[in-house]
Amino acid sequence: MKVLVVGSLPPPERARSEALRAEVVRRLAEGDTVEIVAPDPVATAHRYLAAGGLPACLQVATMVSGFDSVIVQLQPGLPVRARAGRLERSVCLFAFAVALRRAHRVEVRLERLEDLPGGAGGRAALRLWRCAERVVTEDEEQRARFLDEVGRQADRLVVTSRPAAEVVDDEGAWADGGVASVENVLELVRRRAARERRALVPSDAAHLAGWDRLAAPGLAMTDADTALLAPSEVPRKPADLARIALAAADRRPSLWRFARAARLARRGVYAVLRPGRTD
Amino acid sequence: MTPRYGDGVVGGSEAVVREAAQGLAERGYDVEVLTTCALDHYTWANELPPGTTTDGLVTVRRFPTIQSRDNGRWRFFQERLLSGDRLDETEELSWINGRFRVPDLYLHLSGNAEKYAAVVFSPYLFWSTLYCIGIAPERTILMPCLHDEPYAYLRAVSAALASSAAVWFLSEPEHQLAHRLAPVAAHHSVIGAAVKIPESYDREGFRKRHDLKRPYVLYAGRREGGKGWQELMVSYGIAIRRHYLPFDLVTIGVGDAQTPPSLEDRIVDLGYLAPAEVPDAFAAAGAFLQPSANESFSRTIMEAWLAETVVIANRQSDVVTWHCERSGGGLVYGDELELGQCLRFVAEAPEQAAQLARKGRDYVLANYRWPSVLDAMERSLGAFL
Repeated sequence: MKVLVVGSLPPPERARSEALRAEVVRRLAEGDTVEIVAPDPVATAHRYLAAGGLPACLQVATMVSGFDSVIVQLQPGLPVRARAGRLERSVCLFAFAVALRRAHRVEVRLERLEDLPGGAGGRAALRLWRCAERVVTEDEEQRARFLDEVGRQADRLVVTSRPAAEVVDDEGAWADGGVASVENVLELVRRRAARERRALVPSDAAHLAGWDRLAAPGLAMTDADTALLAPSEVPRKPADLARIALAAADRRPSLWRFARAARLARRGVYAVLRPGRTD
Repeated sequence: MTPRYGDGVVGGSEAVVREAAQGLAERGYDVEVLTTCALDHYTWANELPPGTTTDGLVTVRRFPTIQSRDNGRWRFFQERLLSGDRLDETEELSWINGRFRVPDLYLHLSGNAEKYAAVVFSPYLFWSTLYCIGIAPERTILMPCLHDEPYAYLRAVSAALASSAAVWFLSEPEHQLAHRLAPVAAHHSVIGAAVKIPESYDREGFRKRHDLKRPYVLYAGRREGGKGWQELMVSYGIAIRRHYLPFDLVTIGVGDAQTPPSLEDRIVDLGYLAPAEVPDAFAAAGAFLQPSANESFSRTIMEAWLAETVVIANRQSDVVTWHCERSGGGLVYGDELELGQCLRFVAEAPEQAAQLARKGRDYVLANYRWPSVLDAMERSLGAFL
């Protein structure tokens, strides 16, 4: 079966894009041929939509023919721009419904109601839901909210929450089937730690954590690192975080811009916050 | 996982990946290479058919690349990167995604990651690594082949170094560079790399086949700015005129050599040589020139030393300098004047130059043979099997 998937796979890694990836992998395993069209220009895709909102709806209309099935993941920008007003929302939803009416076996995925500006309710949105063989939400809570917002008209729709197994298993059970083995636990440890690191590293604060340097002999942690690692001193207010960022700025070029933003000379910050040391 | 693989692909990391894959397969591992249909790292055009083939004992699965239509945007980000500007996360992804992408490769790995005990990604810079490395981090080994260049400072590279289950470095300076760039995965080691040892060399035959009448120094590899080729031509031109040196500059490899008219009679471009001829090119040379500052291992200097040819290398490369200092088999230069003096040494004291080269050969044989490198890879792989 030829399947057109309209939506964003990772990167960036989000629950929504990971779930769509899991669905694509499931379809591929069933022998389907999948083509991916993403609204997000950096997501993994065969093709990209030129722009969000109404242009995206029109573009999708030109793509759907020739596919046996179409999966659409709704997200800000598809089909409604995040900042769209009520009129624009209605026009986009209407246009998207018209586009999908030409497609076969449509599945619309609305992970969370917040992914569609204005929520799931309203007549324009109802047209879209009616184009779909089924509407899939993230979980039972979102499904209940969806049904609540759509109201009585939802009786004629098939609305399901996606199976939990579709979510990437980064929180797998420590003991599979009740019996823990060193191999299983270590694999989970590695998987969880890897995802933690992946989430941590892109931020500028990653270097402050110091976890990499704990293992590197000869690279002692600094005061700022120790402060961040000590549970009692974990910063809780934005001001604390700013102070730590500035304290580290003198030796972390990546943090100089924080110091500049605060209009503080790096050396001045260094002197105020690290009085025990001199250059 | 490597973006280019097979005959006709020129590149150090690509060669290491291919030889390591074949070496592990010979040791009984079931090895698959996931790669693209491209051979040229400028165009990324699909030159080979998609699908599954074999390369000796290795199964090769090729997936088609898709090139971005918006080259202007890619160039904009490229220029910002090279000028030292820092891109935000989305801009970084736009830059990575803007050259080529391989969505079918991504989907294949997504659906089949659990069938592999370990997935080795190399080199660090391309879409195939930076987009796909997050698919199964718990079984991912990154062999980054890092250079100290602006691209190495991308957040996506930091994330890759940190989130892989293990990282394999080819040299100690590369290892140290990684620690300067980012947190590095707890399981990391310097596994090194190796080169195949030719059984014999045919110096005179090579000279005759290519009608090389004068003594020459050799440059081998990609003829491009990032590898220091243009600077080498300028420095070489200054050196031979200043010191009346007898050497021609012979170059082998890929890329447009763009020889300046004033040096056309002294620079000999032999282009891409058959792999069997390459060792002879090294052996027949008076010296091997390595002008690149961007090296993570430098296979070519190992090939030169094996052929008992002295190495003259750019001091800006920590890796090559490290090899030269450890081996005592190579000279490093800081500018064109120092390069000129190095070439004078080779011209005026060939016996001493040969002595240095023999130290280099001993160094390669002691440290960079495939059995010991594969042993190190197996020790690391043991954590996954």
